Amino acid sequence: MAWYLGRVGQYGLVLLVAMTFNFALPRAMPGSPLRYLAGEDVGLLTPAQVADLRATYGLDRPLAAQYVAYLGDTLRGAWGFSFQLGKPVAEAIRERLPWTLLLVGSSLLVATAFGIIAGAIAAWRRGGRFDTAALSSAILVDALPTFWLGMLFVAVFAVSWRLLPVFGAYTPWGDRSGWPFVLDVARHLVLPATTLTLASLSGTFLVMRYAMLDVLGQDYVRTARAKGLPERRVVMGHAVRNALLPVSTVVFLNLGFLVGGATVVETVFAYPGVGTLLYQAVLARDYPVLQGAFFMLTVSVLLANALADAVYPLLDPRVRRGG
Amino acid sequence: MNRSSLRFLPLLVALLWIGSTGAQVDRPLRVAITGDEGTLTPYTYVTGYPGYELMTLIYDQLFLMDEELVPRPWLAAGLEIVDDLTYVLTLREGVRWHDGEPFTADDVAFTIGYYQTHPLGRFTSSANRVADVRVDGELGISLTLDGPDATFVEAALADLPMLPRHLWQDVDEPRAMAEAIGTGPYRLVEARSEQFYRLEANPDFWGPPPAVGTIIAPIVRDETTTFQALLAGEIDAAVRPVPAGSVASFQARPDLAIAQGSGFATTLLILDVTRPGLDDPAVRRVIAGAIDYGRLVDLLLLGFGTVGTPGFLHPDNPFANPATAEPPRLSPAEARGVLRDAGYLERADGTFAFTDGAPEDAAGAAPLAFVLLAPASNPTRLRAAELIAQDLAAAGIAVTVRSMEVEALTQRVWPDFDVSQGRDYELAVFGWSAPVNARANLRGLLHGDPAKGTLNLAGYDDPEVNELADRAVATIDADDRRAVLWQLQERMARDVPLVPLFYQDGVYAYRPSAFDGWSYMAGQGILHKRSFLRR
Repeated sequence: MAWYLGRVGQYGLVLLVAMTFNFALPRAMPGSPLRYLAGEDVGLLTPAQVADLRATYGLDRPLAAQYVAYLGDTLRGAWGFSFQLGKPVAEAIRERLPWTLLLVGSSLLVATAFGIIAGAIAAWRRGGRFDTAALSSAILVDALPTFWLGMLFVAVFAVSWRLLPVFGAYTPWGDRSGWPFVLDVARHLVLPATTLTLASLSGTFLVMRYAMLDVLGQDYVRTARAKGLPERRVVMGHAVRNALLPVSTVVFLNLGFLVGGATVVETVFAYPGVGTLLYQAVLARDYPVLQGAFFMLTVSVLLANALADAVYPLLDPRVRRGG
Repeated sequence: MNRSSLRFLPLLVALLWIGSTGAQVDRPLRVAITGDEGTLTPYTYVTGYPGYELMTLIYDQLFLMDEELVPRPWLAAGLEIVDDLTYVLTLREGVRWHDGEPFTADDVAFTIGYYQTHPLGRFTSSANRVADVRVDGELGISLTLDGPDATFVEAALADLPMLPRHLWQDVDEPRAMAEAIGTGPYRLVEARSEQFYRLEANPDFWGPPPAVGTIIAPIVRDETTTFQALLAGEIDAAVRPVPAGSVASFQARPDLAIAQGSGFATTLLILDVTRPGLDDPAVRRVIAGAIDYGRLVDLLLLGFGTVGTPGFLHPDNPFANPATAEPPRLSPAEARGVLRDAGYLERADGTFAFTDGAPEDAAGAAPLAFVLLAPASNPTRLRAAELIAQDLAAAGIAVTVRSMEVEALTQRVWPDFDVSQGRDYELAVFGWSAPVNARANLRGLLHGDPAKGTLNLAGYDDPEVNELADRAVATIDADDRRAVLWQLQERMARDVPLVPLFYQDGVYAYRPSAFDGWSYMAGQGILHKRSFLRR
């Protein structure tokens, strides 16, 4: 019991520290949200009117008072009103979150599956043709800028071949119900999700490959082989299962950042996710959106960590408490 | 086909199948915009172009600018200017809001009061010119100004979007008011944050019938993506100017057309005239004279632009002084001569230094050197800064270019958008939007009183210029006003309170098969209300 309370206390402390950063960092940036509060022609206002406006949005209050109010409001779920979007922060996030989960989730799924399989095969056949090809492509793709990869896909698949749409999450003027809509969303998802998958594939692949190489060199694998087990059982039953442990850490970490979106890919494909919301909020000094979105991200990363903490003992008996 | 390539066949088939099933639908006009414009109300739209223009497809003004920037009666059927202070308006009959309620003089009076009490950059300052409002029946209204204002029709009557009193009278927080109801030719039927806006023609519109049934404005922030979408046929026009390097290839395509015209948005070199060195008009004249403006336009805009005039106003502006149309030019030798005559020390390495009362000791003297700030996210302005630094180095003034994130730069040159808070820069490449130029807002740029010179980032303060700038606003007669503005432009050419570099032309691409009714609004572009009304 005490152990669990200790863990909860730890998470609470981390949350508080992260929330403090979420409050302080946006305000430490030079610049001001006034351009969005007063419009592009903010310069036409007199100093008195600008002061009025700052007062209306509480920007003239001492930072300490703003901070206390922010902590209370955020924890109560009152995330305030976006300076730039003209709508509540919670609504803005709610609009974007499904698209981000779809985009980042699908590519995380595919990248993890492909990364694990390819990493395992590459390590098993170390030095072979597949290993050489996969390793060099992983390093090559990892070195390519994501936006460039996205642009290339757009130029080839969307503009030259007209196979897939250039931008957006669906066709605004199309049918938005039933299967045609599902298909439309899928067509719009292919290019951004493929770009994001390629961009994140190499991480999982490399971790899996090295973990697998490590495991294949262990004594118990040699023992298994010496016992005369078929190679398939040695690889699947002994090597892959153990090599998955470090990979699961990576997957859990990625899971936490699932809700953060993918700014570059979202921008290239004009995909309406949380990544562009955050990016625009940074540019606009939209403190409420930054606080709300980063709070969501913080909580999600902490939950993923907690999940990893909970699941890891199940995967690895060595870290079981008291074990 | 060998076995290993057959393995990928199912994937290829799936891709082709997904690719071939795009729904064939009746297509509205698709015009890509550059960013989110909130809920498209006067309090949530973001950009002057295209945001304001999109918003005023829904909301109407009392007057509407025509393509040559002349205000024409719109919701107002008539205007009588009784004296310098009294404007008597008669409203159009039979105008209704999108929800069916009648539009009346009460709405006008309410709108002016609302903008006065709920600050918003563009509308509050012009609404504040109105000291008194008298409603005379359903359609009559008389406005009394707090002082003569030559720009009142353009800056207030042709600019303020009218708000429906019955919906806004209880709204305390205007940015939370999400219902976009106006009297305009289009109704907002759908707004998806960061995705698109969908507008449909208002069947009960009081004016010329809308030429397009449905307008969809998808938000595409990336420039390359925008034009790829145009090439792929996914959009029919873009409000983003075509990059100079792509204009020729767009012109060569049979399915696209180009609309081109002047752009009033001004890129300029601003300077803090209170700094040592920059407080000397001779140094400022050398800076203005040493810059090769033609090279900036040729290299940065590939010729799609006009060199800056020392009097700030674009040569197409009706108030531009032809005598100050050309930027000054000094050869490096001439520039050095001016600096020598002004008492600066020329050092062995070719740079100049302050004398500081020690005229012979050039080694210990402070160099005539400045830091030039440029926005990191804007390659054109950053490159302009580098070229300027080269030009000034040849004239003996050392300039260090420093790139900064744009909001951080703005905070340095214009802390909290309030010039009374001072400034923390020496030189910067900056820009003013088209309306500053179109309305000849020289008082805003030059007046030494922060309440009047709200755009005076130079800290410039000259009693004679202040007096002239006040007269430029208070003089109603167009010819008299032009004379005052001409004088101001001559003063600017002599004193160099700012250095206009260039005006980038508007070059816009569209698909004529989808819609060919675009008209070009001088200084601005193709997206505006008159483009969408049958002529």
